[in-house]
Amino acid sequence: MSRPLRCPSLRVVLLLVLIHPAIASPEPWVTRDSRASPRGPWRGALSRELPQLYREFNGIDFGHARLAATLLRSKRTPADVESARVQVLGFIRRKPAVPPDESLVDPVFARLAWKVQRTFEWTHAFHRSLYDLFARDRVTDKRAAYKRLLVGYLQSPDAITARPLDHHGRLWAFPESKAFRDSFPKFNSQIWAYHWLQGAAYDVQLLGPAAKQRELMKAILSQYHEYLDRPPVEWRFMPLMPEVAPRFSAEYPEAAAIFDNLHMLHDNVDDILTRRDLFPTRAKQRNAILKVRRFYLARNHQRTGPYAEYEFSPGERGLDAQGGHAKEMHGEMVMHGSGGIDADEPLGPRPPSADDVLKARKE
Amino acid sequence: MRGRLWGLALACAAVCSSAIPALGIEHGNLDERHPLRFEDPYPIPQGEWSIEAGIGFQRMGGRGRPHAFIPIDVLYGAALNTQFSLGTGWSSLAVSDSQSSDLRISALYNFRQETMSLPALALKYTLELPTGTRSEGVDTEIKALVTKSISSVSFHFNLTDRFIGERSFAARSSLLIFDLGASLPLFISHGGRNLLLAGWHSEQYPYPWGDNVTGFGLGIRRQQTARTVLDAGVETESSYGVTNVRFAGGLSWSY
Repeated sequence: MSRPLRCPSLRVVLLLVLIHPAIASPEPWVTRDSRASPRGPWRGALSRELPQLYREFNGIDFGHARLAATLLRSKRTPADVESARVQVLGFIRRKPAVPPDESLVDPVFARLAWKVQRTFEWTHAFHRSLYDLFARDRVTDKRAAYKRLLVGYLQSPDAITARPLDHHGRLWAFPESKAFRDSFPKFNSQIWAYHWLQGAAYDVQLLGPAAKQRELMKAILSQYHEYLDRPPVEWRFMPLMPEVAPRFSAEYPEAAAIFDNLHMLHDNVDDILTRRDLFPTRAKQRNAILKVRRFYLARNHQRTGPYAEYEFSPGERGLDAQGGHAKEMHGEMVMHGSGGIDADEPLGPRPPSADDVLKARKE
Repeated sequence: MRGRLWGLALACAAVCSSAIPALGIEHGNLDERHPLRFEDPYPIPQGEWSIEAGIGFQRMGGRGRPHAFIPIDVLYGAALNTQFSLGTGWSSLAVSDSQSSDLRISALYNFRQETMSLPALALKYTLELPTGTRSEGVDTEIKALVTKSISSVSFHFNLTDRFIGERSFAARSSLLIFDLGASLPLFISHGGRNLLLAGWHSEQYPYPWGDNVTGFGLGIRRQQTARTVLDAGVETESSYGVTNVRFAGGLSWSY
């Protein structure tokens, strides 16, 4: 009996026929492009010097991934989302010793929008490198190391811009904006509490060597856990680095801008995943997420980039902390939009700075 | 037999490459023999070094005492999506086999990341130099690696053509090897630190008249710290009613 598969050319033809759906697929060709975390004498310092904070950050990584998994894979009823939130709290309380692999916790999001996952992972690595740097007493010239890390970070095409963007204006005025906040206020506030901790931790780290950081960090972590127990739903907009960590934002403005942009991108993605009516298919979700990612990429904000309109212009609008004109009306912070964007939305009470918390706890 | 293996391989390629949206999982980096034979198409990140070592015991179908082997590999993410590796090992068995101290030099290139409908794809080329005991001839391997996931389970498909440099009279000049595996993270609500693995393989017998060598494997990988992974597994190899069993444990450390 003849065996046609013995013919090499026929094997190749058959293989091509079988893989042609992959070639003809409307889905874009996506490369993995993973990069190692930057190396330096600071690497791993946070886990040794401030292990409690390190474990909290592991919990935060899980929280982001679990949320996206819930929005993508469940029916997104309030019960589903609340159940996921409680599960995340349980994970955080177990003080995880190892950072979870986010693409294991949320495999669908990683496959749906790998490029955004890449941006998140690369920026989280930058985040973690800075915590390590400030926890490492042996590195005395922190500014030089910071510059090295920043340059390395921005070299990647996945890097987020270091320019302040118009978070509470144009980036908060899409049709889907505020959907997650308004639909699931508790989980949204919990996410913002993570971002509050991430900012406040930096400001404490700038107050002294690792031993002092360990001592002062207790108050910050205590405040953070109060937020987890009673999510600050009265916050109407995400915590911004200049409010929470004014010292860090003044000394390291590029990193502060990058992290605010990162946190806003998280909010944009959560909003897109919440609005299944606007984005009913996986393809529409992916396209919307990839589109919004472009507004944030550093390579799109060089000189007069294509997305300059999303950059923050001092004096146009903004929070006081960013030099804009937020003002108090009837006891609430109100931000003023322009050009029909985001007009007069009450911000509610704003989150405290790290120093506010340290002072209050001392008293 | 070779034709049947090709048929099976092509059928798997059809399943893996069909443009059907499916739920699935992206997982950690699975490397050959850590703990099972199959691997995934993902290289280590650019600029990262990894050292993978282990210890194992193999029982040769009830004949004699089990023999020990100690493999070691060094991996480097040389460029984006590209991994080079250098591996060797030591075996208490006198005759040469792939676990002995031959030097293996490999390059893996990942073409794409898995997405909703399309699998992850990579090619790996290996050169095996005869530095081991009684080893002769330079062997080469070319391997296609595919991973596709459904829900939380990832399916891994490796097809290898191994070219034998120095062969006996009437022996095959190349062997076709087919590995199929699945991986599943356990307790995702606890962070998914443990990955359960199961595999099946079939390899052509070195002589055309022989039956394929087939076997099963079961293993586990555990993320021990941010930079270390532990693994353990058991695999069988059966041919002509004789079954060899190997137990192996390993440690991977990256920097």
